[in-house]
Amino acid sequence: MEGRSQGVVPAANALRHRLSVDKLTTAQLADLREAFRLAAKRSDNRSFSFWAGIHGVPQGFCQHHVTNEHGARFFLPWHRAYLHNFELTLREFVPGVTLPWWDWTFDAAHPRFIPDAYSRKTLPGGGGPNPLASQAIPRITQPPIPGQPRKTVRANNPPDSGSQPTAQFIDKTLLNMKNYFQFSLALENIHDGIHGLVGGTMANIGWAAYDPIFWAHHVMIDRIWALWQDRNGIAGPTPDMFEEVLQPFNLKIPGVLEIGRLGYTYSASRSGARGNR
Amino acid sequence: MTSEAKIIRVKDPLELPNDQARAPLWSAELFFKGLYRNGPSFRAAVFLNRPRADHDTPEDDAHGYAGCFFVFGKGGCFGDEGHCDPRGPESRFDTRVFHGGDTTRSVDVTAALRRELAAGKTEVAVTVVPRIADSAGVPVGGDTDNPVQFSEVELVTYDAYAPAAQRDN
Repeated sequence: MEGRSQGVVPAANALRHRLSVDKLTTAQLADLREAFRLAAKRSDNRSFSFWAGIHGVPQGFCQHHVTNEHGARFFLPWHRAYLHNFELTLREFVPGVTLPWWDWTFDAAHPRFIPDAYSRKTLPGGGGPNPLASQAIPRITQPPIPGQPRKTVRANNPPDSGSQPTAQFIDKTLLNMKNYFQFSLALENIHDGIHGLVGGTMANIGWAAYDPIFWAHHVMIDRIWALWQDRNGIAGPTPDMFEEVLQPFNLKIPGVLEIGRLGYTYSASRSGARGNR
Repeated sequence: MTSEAKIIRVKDPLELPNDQARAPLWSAELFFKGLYRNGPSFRAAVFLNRPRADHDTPEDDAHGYAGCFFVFGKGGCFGDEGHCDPRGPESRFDTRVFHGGDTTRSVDVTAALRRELAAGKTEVAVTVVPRIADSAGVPVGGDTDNPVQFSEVELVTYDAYAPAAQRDN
């Protein structure tokens, strides 16, 4: 496997641990970068641009952002299916890799926004461009879309307490909401604010998923939903939604309600070493 | 750098709940329904009973700041003519995926509303002051001059007798 770092090889049926991007080991971060680098080199339906293009341009499955009488109907389940499928695709390139979560909560004592893993332009030791900092956006159509950006860019905004919620707000207010649709709407509002604060291509539904940090942002959103489910003992979506197909994925809403059934969980860090047999 | 956009001063005030002595306010949400999202991403600050609030108004209690909401915008339509026109299924046999443009946002205005009630106000005027996200040079379509467009603003209050699902929010 090209660029594969040495580590403990995961069993095929082992639970996938999604980790904090701040707590990735050197090898885990190298694996993540390698997975994105290899995905970007593909030209088939495992390519990074294929997966990024599902969200907005050109495939336009952005109906999950539309609301109905319940509020944000598909926002959380659709993105859970999206992350799950993309993560499985990345694991074709680098077995064992998982998508990390980006803790964008505001900490007045240690204000920060974009993590170093995603902001540094080049890799240490002359390792070339950082595939998590920016990605090319291929020409989508012929004739081309007017004004199409050819690579992802960000606004380089400083930390902003007006857009980043505090961890205390997440813990004491958001996770204590008892109504799923109110919770989902409030979480989507926070999500929108982070997209806007990153700015550039991330501030645009059409192009956002081409930025690698999109995935870490949404893993954080998915993690908060999982924490809410765990704390409140309810899955969220109501039975009238259960027959909805999460297009284009091979899943209906009941299939994404338990992260354990999708084979992953949320942890902070993970490290291991080979034993003696 | 964010950029200033058109301020929305809702024409009609919203009536506040009476009978505060017997059933005091527990919490309150301000819903913006039918909210346009086909334009730029933006942050919108919401002020109560400050009809002259603008982009220089401090976001604090003394100036009627109630909270804010965000919209992650589509940035315009990336298709040909008619691509983003809202449309629904043609019939019950139509299983195509449709995309629309509107969304809903809510703002917890409990603290701000308590201040207005304590001041003896019987209604509130809503002012929305938006700032558009920095596009870092990426072209953004849609209505970039007037991104805050909604079909309805609705104030919902809860008292101590509301179901816990609402009361605890």
